[in-house]
Amino acid sequence: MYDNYGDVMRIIEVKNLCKEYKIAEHNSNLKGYIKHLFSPKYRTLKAVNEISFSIEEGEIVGYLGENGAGKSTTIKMLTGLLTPTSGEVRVNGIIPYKQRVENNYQIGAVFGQKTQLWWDLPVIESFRLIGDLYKIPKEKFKENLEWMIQELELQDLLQKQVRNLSLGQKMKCEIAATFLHQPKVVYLDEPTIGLDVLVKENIRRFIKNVNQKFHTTVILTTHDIKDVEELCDRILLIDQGKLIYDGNITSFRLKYSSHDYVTIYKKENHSFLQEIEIPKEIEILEENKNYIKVKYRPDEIQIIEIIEFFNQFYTIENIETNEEKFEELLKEVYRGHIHVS
Amino acid sequence: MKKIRHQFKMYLKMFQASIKSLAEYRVDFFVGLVSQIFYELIQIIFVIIVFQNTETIHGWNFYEVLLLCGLLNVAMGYVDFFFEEMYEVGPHYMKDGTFDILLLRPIHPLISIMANSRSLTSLGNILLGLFLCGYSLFHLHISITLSTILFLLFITFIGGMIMGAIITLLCVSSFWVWDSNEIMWSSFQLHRFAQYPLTIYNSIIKFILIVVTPFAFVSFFPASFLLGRDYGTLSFIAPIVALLFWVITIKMWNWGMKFYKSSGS
Amino acid sequence: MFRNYLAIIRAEFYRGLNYKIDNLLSIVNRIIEVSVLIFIWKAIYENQTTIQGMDLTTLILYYALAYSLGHIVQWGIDENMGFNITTGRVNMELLYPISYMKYYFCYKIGHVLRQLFVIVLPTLLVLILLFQIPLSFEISRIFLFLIIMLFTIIISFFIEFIFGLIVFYTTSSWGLQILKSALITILSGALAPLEFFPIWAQKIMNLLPFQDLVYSPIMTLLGMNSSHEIITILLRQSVWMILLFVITKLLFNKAIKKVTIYGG
Repeated sequence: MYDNYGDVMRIIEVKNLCKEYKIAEHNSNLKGYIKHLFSPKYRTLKAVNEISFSIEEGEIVGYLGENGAGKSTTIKMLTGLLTPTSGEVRVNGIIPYKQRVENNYQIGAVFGQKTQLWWDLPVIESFRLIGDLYKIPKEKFKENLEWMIQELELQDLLQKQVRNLSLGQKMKCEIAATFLHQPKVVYLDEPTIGLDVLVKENIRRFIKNVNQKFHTTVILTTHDIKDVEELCDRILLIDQGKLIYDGNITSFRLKYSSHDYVTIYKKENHSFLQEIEIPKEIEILEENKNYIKVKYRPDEIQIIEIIEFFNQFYTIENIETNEEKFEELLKEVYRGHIHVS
Repeated sequence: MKKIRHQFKMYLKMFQASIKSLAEYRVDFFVGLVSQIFYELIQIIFVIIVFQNTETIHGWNFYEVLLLCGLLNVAMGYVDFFFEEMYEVGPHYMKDGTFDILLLRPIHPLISIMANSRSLTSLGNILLGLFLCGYSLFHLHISITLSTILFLLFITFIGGMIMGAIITLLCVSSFWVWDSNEIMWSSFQLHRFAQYPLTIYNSIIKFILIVVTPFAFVSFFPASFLLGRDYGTLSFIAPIVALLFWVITIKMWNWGMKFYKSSGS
Repeated sequence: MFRNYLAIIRAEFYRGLNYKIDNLLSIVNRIIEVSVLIFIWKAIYENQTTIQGMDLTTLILYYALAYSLGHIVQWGIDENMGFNITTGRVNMELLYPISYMKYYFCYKIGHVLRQLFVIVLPTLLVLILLFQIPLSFEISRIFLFLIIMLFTIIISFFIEFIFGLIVFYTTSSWGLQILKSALITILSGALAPLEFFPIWAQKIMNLLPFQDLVYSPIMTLLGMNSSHEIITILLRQSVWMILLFVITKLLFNKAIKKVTIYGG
């Protein structure tokens, strides 16, 4: 698809998006409340500050950031629930907040704990209602539904009322319902929160498969790092309303990872470490009768030097190297220790 | 004695905390106040309409019926002030498990529930009711002496306590049913019968209003006393009725709590 | 064609069926409410045979109809709408592929249909049995009654939707429910037929659309008004329908703007 200038248009285009809020300011005691009743004071908060990005059809993108960083505000503007203060946003050519109902036909959304299913009805009824609501052709509906029931193991849940489902069961049904009408774009906000490992895996597998089957573009907001690592090729990192990183995970790691880890498996059961002087370039993370875990900066010391050092005191049986975990990296970014540009 | 004092003190402190949180919702507060008053006004408007089309109901004229309404209003004000939270017990405290927290406190759960009642709009009800009483007594040319006022304040408070006991008793159903608030509300609708002279009803309803849910002691008997009508002296049994019902209520609550603790829901 | 609309009507119809205790208690509440009123009038009619041209039997039938049918207009969708707004579920509703207003109109239809079967008819039945009310209606009157009720439902939708929209601006909807319910009870004729009100009050009520919610349809069914009056009713309802539609649409657009600029 092409835009007015003949360039290939991405399915999601966001240009200089801004959202400002006025926040009431008052002291939180009785006097303050009364004062505020009569002469209210406000200050401006920039929840989203000049964010720009574009997403191609079929991508699965992770949208990450700390709580309050501006993630849900951006998603709300993408879904048309919020009007931007300035900037442009287009989803498949449509401006969401201007043509919300038309946009709704082509999107799906899961917002944490809130459900689009009908609470008091059996699951299958909810699915049928969604089929009617989105005017899904009967054949397609049947096909999609059967496929999803299989993928997400929903057979036993169909007759149960939504309110009687466990959290994991509810989320699986929720996800199925979201993709049922084959939307072009799906927004998933914390889809795996509070779920056990098996259900999480099931859902992740499903998202991968449905993305392959329908080329659905998926925007995933999550705090679960494994979600991101398994599903997303690309991440957008938000901090205090600004987009601080846009690219894939591997590049992110390569660019910002500063530490590496090595685990040295030794023969000797007891430790000599109290008696020896450890080089300042390395940090001992863990030490027991089987191994020593070491953290180091590859630009300060080479792995071969570390091995030579420990070789003086121990008989080394095995060595394991690990890259800095993505999770650790993110933590460092949130803490402000790493500056991303 | 010390234990009761302690419970009372705790009630005051928790009530203060409830009030503070109420200040957060300013628009809601005003709307709630106006709406409550409006709702009560319907009853009065109906009385006015009725008396547009007749002089008396079973010998009771407009002002006398107004007195019944006023007495009921004041008592309802007390009920809302102390017992409004009872409606939350089933659908919230029991459902969310908050009741367990109350059981862990060194005071009876009822005290906590009562302290969480923060119906400031109930004061409006009390004032409205007192106004109605004064207004009607004035127009009936009944002298408002000190003893009249004391009687009024006392009997309406007792009336409120009787009604409160009934609501709290109905609330015991929360131990078994989460939708207890609906059951309570429905059963409590019977109080509407107390807005009018008892004599217009059939014997079944009269029996219910005197013995089963003694709303008659809230309005009819006290009004009869103030108006010098028959049955007026029965209002002096009201404190005994209140005491009786509270004893039953607390016993039922304790029994319900035993059941609750053993079934571990 | 109308799959999506039917879906919502269906959903709302079935949703409420699950609340068996609530529904039962609604019936009980209304019966108690109206019983008090009937007892009072019974006592009053001991001294006179007609009031404002109505005899006791007719009046009791009036109340039975007002409190069963009236449930449709007194407890409408504004409560649900308000609840969905305060809980944030409105965000999901705004993402449905159907206009929010159309969505709630279909919701209303499902709501009315369900209330009809679950509350209106049972309440009416119990009252007829309790008070031994004789029934007889003219066919032509039933027909006219149905037309008026159709308009009534549309008008009450607009009123409820407007009150629902107000919740977008306030933090809680509970107080408004009480206020609206109180207003409607008085102005619709549920409390008493319009003739029972003082003349000055009647004049005001004649200007408002609320009388057509309860009073007009029931008086038509009971055969208590002339064909001239019926035509006036239909005309008045038509005018109010158009007027309320315009007002509702305007307020709706404003409310949506507010929500999307300031957040839910």
